[in-house]
Amino acid sequence: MERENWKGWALSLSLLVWCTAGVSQTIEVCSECEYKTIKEALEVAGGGASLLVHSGTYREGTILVTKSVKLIGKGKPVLDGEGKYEVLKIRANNVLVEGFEIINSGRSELEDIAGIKVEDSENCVIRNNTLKNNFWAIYLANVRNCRVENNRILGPFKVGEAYSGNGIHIWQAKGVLVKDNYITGHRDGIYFEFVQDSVIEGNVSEGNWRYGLHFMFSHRDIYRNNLFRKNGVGVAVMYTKEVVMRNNRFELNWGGTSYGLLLKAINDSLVEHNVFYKNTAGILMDECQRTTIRENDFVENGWAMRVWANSMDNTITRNNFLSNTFDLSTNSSKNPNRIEGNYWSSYRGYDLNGDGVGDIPYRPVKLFSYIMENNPAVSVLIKSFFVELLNLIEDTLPAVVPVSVEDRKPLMEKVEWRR
Amino acid sequence: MRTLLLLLPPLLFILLSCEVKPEPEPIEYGKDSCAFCLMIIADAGFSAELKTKKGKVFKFDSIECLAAYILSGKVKEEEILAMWVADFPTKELVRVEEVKFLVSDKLRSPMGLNISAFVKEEDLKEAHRNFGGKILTWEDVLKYVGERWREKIGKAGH
Repeated sequence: MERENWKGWALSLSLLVWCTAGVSQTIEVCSECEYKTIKEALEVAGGGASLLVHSGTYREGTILVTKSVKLIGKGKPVLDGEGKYEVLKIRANNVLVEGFEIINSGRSELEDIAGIKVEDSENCVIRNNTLKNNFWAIYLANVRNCRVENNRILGPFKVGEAYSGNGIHIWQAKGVLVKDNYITGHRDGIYFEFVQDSVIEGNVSEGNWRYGLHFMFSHRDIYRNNLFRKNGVGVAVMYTKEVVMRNNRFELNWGGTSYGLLLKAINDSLVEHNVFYKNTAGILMDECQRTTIRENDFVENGWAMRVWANSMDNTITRNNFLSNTFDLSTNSSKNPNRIEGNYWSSYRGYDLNGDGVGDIPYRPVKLFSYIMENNPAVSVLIKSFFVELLNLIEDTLPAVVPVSVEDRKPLMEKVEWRR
Repeated sequence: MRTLLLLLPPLLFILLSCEVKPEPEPIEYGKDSCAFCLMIIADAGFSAELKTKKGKVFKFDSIECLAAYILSGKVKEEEILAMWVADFPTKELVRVEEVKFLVSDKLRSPMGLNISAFVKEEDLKEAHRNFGGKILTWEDVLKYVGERWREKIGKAGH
């Protein structure tokens, strides 16, 4: 009896030793190590192994990962695609890629060649890497529960040169976290298509050729605490429902067709506690429904908001409209949205009963901006004597304004919202 | 009188140049936005354009957006002068009558319905061999987009 017990102990002990040995299998890769290339090390690696890759430059063509391994760079080893190859291609679950510098992927008209591509996988982690001069940088297709964290992505795009693919490109995914990355020099900084139940937070996306963030058919996602600055056009959120956009900054997107944030066909969503600073248009809204825009600051934009006629049942409340050339414009005389209780720095009303709400309504749509929405060419008259005159007439005889948009409860003081 | 005669040729020239030419206006990638989905047009392999008889130009980032624009009734058929789509291999805008279309998940278009166009039969066959999918005519494309994008087209229509 006792003897059998001892046997059992021995068996489980040896099992334990075997397991831990398997889990913690570590293979070192360097020019003086037994394994000189990552490919050699991958061949002998078991599932769960760690590959410690030491500093140096590795030119191995496309490194294909089909096992659940941890790829850990020590001293920022460089993986060079030499302008010809996709550098790292992952087709396995539970893969970690950390601490590498991945440069010079190939380019192609037909294929989306990336610095790091993950396909048909779960639980991947891509963190603390630097990606330079890749066609697409980090590319995830058909993945679940992946994390892309704290990567520095410097694309090949410079003003006047040919454009590239996207910085962080995610297609067909669920449960993804994109956090604390810096992205510049790509077509779209961050791109989501058919990505659901995911979070984008703490990223800085600036100086990209088209959009800082581009977001399509991606329901129930949250993006918060990001900075989108000086991108070719701004941020575009399209054909999506139940998205939460909170605590982001959209700034310095300046140019004919630019905007801080494009909301195209967005339903049942929330835009809260964001700052829109110095954009041609803070928000451009088209075909949106039941979306709430609450407690945002619109500061020194050309237009704070352009709300196009086919947007309805949206709520715009408790926002601060501060020193914008135009607060609001629309191309329709009807306004099927609720605009109420905002602070407008150009409001000249009074508050006799002292309840903090202005006694006369504020009409944020200037006659000239209405004319301009319907005839873009008249924008050459902006700041002209004609427009000054128009504004003067409008102020003295409000009845000339053909648009029924008004805030019936304009606030006398700025809204103090807190994150 | 003689000075007036001198003015005649330039005047004629101006008058003649007012006629709407059935030629596409070049698309400025990264600047022009799609008339249907508002996205900035970036990918020359999938773009499209429509010109009306009055000379109004509408540009699209994808072939599906051109189809959806027509299906939504924003422009009437009798007003259309010509339509162009990008020939996928050469990225040149060509008349819609001159191409055949491929729908393939391996050739992903900017708006996700993955329609591309080909002028040359051999290019089409090669792409079909490499990427799979289905070959469609323009009528098929209209039908396909109408079915897949019923809601989007309905919304844009009013």
